[in-house]
Amino acid sequence: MSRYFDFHVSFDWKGFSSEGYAKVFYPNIITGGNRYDAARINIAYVSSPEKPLPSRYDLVNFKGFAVNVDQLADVREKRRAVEVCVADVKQAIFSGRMHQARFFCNVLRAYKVPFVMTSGATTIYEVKSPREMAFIGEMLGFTQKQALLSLSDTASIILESKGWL
Amino acid sequence: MGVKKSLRTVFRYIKLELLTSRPEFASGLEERLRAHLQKMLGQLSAPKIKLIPLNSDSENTYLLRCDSASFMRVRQALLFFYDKDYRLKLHKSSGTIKSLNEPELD
Repeated sequence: MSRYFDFHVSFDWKGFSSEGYAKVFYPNIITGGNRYDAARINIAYVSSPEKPLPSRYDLVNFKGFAVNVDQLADVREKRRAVEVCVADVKQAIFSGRMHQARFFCNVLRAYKVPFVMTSGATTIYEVKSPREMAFIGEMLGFTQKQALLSLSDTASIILESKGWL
Repeated sequence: MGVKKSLRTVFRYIKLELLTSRPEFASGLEERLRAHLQKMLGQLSAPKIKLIPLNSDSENTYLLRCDSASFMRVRQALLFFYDKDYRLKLHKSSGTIKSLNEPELD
């Protein structure tokens, strides 16, 4: 049985093992003045496609699902991953921008960019089990297997590169 | 005379678990789900659903029945059901009730 990880949980969640996760992480968001923190998972928020990526990061989140092919190629070369956050998908659905999220995920698949699905949960009501993440991945154009692999294998590669696994 | 087989409604079932600290709210779940589906899918195109309690498994496990044509839309809408009184966890889905009663393999 695979071990699943959630890299973006913004509250103290003790019951993650009952949902099927091996470990969840409270990330360090690199935006504005924040710097890379070696003790945490670092997620770089890129608000505009024109802005350059920071020099060090573990995951990168493209705000508003903006596509920049050069930056995606850079992420793939550095063996890092793109964050596909369920909280962003939810926001896209409620603001009628679901097509943008789907297009972004199609580009990820076309360019074979590694991605990690995260819940982005701020309360217990927003957490998603790995199976639910797979359903959401299917909705975005991935297969259920691809979505589950992003939670286990891709996440494991990132943890290994940090020396935590 | 029976309904022609191809015209019969084919149902699919979604197994879901209600994780709530207040079981007294469980009675209003079906109404809340209907309201949510209407909000997400539109009042006119919202599919008909029926919530069936699964007594054999546990008290808080239900089967949600919908027609197979709208199954994917219903499941996607349920994934974004957020309510402080009703926290849902979706399990596997199937075309038959029997297969949903079997233990899950991950």
